[in-house]
Amino acid sequence: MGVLDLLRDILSTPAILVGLLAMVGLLFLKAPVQDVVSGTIKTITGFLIIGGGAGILIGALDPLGTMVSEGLGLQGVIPTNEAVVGLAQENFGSQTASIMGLAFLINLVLARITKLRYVFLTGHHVLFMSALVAVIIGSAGASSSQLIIPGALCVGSLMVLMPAFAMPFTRKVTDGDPIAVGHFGTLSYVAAGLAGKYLGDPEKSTEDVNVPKGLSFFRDTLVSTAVAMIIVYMIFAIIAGPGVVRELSGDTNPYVYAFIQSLTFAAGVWVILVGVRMLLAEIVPAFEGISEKLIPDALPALDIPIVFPYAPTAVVIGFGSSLLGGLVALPLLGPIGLALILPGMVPHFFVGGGAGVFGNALGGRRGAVIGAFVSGLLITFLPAFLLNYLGDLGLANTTFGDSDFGWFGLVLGSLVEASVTFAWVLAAILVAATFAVGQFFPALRPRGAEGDVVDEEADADADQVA
Amino acid sequence: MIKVFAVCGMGLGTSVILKSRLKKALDEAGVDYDIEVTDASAANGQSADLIFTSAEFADKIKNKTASVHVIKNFTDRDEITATVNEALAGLDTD
Repeated sequence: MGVLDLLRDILSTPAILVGLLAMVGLLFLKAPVQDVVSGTIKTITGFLIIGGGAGILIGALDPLGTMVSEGLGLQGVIPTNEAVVGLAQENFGSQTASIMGLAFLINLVLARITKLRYVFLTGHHVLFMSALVAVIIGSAGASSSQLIIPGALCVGSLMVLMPAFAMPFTRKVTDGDPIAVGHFGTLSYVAAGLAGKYLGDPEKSTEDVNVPKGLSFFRDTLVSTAVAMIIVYMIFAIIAGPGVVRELSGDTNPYVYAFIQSLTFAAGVWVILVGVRMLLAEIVPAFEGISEKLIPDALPALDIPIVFPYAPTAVVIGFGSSLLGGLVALPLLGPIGLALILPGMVPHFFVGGGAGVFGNALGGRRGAVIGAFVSGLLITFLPAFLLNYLGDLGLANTTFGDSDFGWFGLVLGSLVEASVTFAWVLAAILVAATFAVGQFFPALRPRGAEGDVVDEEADADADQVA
Repeated sequence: MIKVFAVCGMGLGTSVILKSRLKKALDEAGVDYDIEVTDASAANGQSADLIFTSAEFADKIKNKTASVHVIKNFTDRDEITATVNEALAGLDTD
């Protein structure tokens, strides 16, 4: 019994699980012993740092939540993936880690046996999606054993489907360079691509526009998060009034207190980022190394900034337009009974910037502006609806930001609300979709309509017969 | 032992990929190194020998000890190998 208890505790401790995941990857790649030891230790430490950062962050978010609810009678929410994933680790840590590990494996299998040969290398998004899925299915009442396998099948399928859906547009962005986008803001990029295609004019590129240099400081996400938080905290400190804030701040001046809390929020995000970075620093390269060995012809699907150099001005325009979309949507949320989704700088910058690049590639300036604006609306409304499906975490003052977390969370959440077994149904549908999409939509394969090597051989055979 | 940073905006996605590609080039060059991923602001505060990043961040990195090298295309292994070799050659003459 003692041994079984020990084993159970080991496998239900998320920090050890992620450490094991890194260790397996490093051993598979035949890394030297000292690298295996240091890599495993760093991964475990990284996971523990995430928890520490989440503690700092909650300390700063709670007072903001009080100021918003006292001031406006609404729940105030800042979508920040790092923050909500930090919070989710308390109750869903081991499920998240298990889903993430299995999802990498399922991605490899699907990339090997379907025609969608994408390997999704954006590790932090796999972590966030795994946490989202664990929270949603878990909050619907499923046990760990009921949620890990269907959850991992969903995440693993999305890891090949999302790069595939973006691919026809990505090809326009990169002008045929062999790059795929692996980022869970795909709905935004597809929407921006379509908006650009039908409403824009690709001749009038954003890259002919001069954007003030001063705006580039927003590229530093710590600074942009801090600046936005100073503004948000100050506005709500004023709305709530000094009386309310003084109850939180004690002897400290209410505005000095709000200022320090806003920067503490940024500090918490930064600490979590350090943890996520350490957590993924070994796992992602191991995953990439394994995929190169097993599926040498797969196309790596990379984080969204990989397309930024193709249209740097579109990134800045997209960020501005997305933020505007978020601000326009803001006053509409309260009246329709939703929580107040305050603009999170990280999703607006990366998803909005990416939407700008995709919109520009298909529809020039107008495409970039409209596409990113639509994306800004999406990443404001979707998180607001998503809160209903996150259980206790739906009451937190932060949530998941990027658009695919929104739409997929809503689909999964409404299904498992009816019955947790629907998680299996959705998983089966998504796995089937990876086969069907690869088979019937050649434009979504990594090498496009010309087909992959296997198809060319088949064509050559057909030619010979003819 | 030389200390190397791979830098991108968040130090999460792009730089991790850059790291695994830099590793290959550094292994081929046969040097003794330690490589870490980071964001631009963290790269400023720590001592390093070589920093690799994209053009957007090159002017934001003001590290006293390290030389900064720009990689234009993170997926182009030839460019990465060439840049790494150039950077290593620069170290020797210092």
